[in-house]
Amino acid sequence: MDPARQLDPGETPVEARGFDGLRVLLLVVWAVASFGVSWFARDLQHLVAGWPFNFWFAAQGAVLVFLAVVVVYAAVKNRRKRAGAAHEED
Amino acid sequence: MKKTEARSYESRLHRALLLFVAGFLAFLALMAWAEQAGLSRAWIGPIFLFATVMLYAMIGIWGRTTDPEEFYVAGRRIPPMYNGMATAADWMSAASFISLSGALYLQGFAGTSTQPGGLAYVLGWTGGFCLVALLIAPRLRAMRLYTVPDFFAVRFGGYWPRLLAAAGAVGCSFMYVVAQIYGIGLIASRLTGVQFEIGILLGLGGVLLCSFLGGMRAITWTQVSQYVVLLLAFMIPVSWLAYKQLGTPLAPVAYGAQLPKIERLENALIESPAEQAVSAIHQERAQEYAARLRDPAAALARDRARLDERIRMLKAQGADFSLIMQARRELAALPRNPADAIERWTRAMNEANERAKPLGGLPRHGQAFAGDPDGSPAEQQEFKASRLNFMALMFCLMVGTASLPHLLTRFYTTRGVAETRSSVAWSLGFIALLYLATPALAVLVKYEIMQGLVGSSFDALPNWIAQWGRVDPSLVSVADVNGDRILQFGEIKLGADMIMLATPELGGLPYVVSGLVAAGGLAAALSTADGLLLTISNALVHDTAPTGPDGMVRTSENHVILSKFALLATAMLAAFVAVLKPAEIISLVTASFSLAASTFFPALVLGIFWRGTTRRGVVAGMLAGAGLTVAYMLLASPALRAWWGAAPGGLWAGVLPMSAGVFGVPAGFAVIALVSLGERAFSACESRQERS
Repeated sequence: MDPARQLDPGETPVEARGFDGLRVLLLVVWAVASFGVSWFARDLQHLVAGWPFNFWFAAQGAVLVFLAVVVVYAAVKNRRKRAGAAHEED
Repeated sequence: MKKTEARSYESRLHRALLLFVAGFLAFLALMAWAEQAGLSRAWIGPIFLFATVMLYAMIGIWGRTTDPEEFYVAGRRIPPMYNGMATAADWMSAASFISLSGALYLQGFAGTSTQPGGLAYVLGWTGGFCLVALLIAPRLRAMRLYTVPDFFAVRFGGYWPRLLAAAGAVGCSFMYVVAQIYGIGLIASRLTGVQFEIGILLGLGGVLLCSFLGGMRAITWTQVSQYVVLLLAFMIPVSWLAYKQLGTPLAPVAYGAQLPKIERLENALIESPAEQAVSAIHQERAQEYAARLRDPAAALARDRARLDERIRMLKAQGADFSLIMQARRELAALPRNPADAIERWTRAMNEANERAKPLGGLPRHGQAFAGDPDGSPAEQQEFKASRLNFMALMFCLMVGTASLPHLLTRFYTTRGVAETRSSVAWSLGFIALLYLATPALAVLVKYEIMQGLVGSSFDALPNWIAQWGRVDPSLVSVADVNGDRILQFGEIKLGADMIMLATPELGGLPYVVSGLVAAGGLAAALSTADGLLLTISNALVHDTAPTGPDGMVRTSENHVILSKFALLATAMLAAFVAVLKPAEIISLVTASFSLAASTFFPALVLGIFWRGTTRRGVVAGMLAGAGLTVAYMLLASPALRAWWGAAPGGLWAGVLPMSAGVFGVPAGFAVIALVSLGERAFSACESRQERS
């Protein structure tokens, strides 16, 4: 059954072509939402619409940001792949 | 042709899912009606347990297979949404479903400086999926592997990288599976009233029927159904409680209104004289233990002499036999030797000290980090330590998420790389449904306890306190410390593991909801246990088998059969360890995240993104990362330090041992890079010499 283990067309097997802009941008968003906001959590106590901002962001806002990161990445990459971009990697 | 086939497959799946949800809701309605009609509580729990475990077992029997492609990767044809549901169930363990809301209740925003937690768990267990999606899962899927150690075989070749990866997979998954089986035993014994050990066996039967017979294929569909069960089991009580307190069932968007109220209640509790009296008594107890600890041997001898004397007196008076037996039991319960006494009394002293603090030692719910950045030097120090450990824990959980083999193999089962990317998004979406509601639940429960339970009379305590106390006294203990027959907040001690399971009773919901919540917890524990057991058995069998020229193992039906028996043996061993009730389950789980992070993450990321990574580099890096992590955990663990007589402390930069991955991950990256560069420089040098 292993002969079936050929690669899907257009995919490099192991090494990537490195980090493209989208990936870097999304990693920065991820790091700011998690580590950045948490580091300054004590100073972000003001109320926004009746909620303490720091608690809301750590409990829910950050999760929504993470979700957005993953959804944007999947959507953009999959569209690029459908469009048949030549440099498509993973 | 292929496309229409896939589409009709998917629409069949949608129909089956709808039917399943409708059927499960009908079952709930039927149970609710039966409770109204007078079905005894003693039956409801066992019916839920039996019905759901039978359902999972039936899916397991339906999905039985010996085909390797089906057993290892479910035929690689699971649509992204269903794979997302299965991943969500696989990912959300007993710790997420049972312990997380309890941990958020006990730890508030960030926990304390010595026990970080709270929202770090929410952030860490969701944020890790960004790393999975951006760096790891699509690339692994593109390589058409069967297990995570396969990556090491294909990318680096040779014997050692794969073997080390297999050992790492077994090591971090085993601790994790023990925690799941402990959860299964806890729920099954609470639901049916049987002993903890028998509860474990009952639950284990369900796991084994499923993963033993059907491997990944059966596990996938069981996990989809388990996700439905655990989502309903979480949402129904949360919405109900929110409706009761806030007038709307949408807990995650409405619970903010309770945060300022809790802050006011906390202020009132801190000011209350009755609470202060309770905390003064805890303080006294702590001092009493401290006095004993100054000369433990003498204190122990005094205790022994006092009890001996009492037994002699009772005997001389011809007192009732039961009184003498009681005194004997007390004598037998004394620490056996001074070392044992030191350990027990130190623990008791620390606990009493903790409970003597305002709010019974719980941090204020909405306060980010302990201590005070503008306070005294000690408070500033505490603030810094608390913030640092919060970040460290979050880092380890995130990076660990992106390295745990049982999660990564779930993304092997989709049809292609694009589907894997969508599937990660679906997974995080399904996980977020629950995780957005968990902080809400913790806040609602805290309000319910502070507002409703505190201040009630000891003669009219709700039933659930006694019932849970019977399962395990460490889960709930309520004692009238200051003797005023009124319950103070400082007199309640709740374990993190029971808060979610007791929520329905706490909120006064019908008993059916309790049964449902327990079934949900069971689903969470079983689904994760399934995935972990499969990972362990595959690492033991598939990843130690000889490889072909392309670095891949020739999979065969013999391997599948061997894997099945390895799975059985692993499950038995894990159950045996769980019966011993290892004390600190949540810190063991966190430790396994640290271990996974430092073993796999640097090797995976560099292996994927840096062409220059060499085999020697990876072996050295994995050994260095895992070695440093384990060494730090052992060297800095307070229990072990006490055992070999070292002074407490020994922390590097104040990072607690469970977050050792903070050191292990960078060490892994550094060693892989250095050794790879060095090796290439060396070989370049050699080839130049040969040429000249």
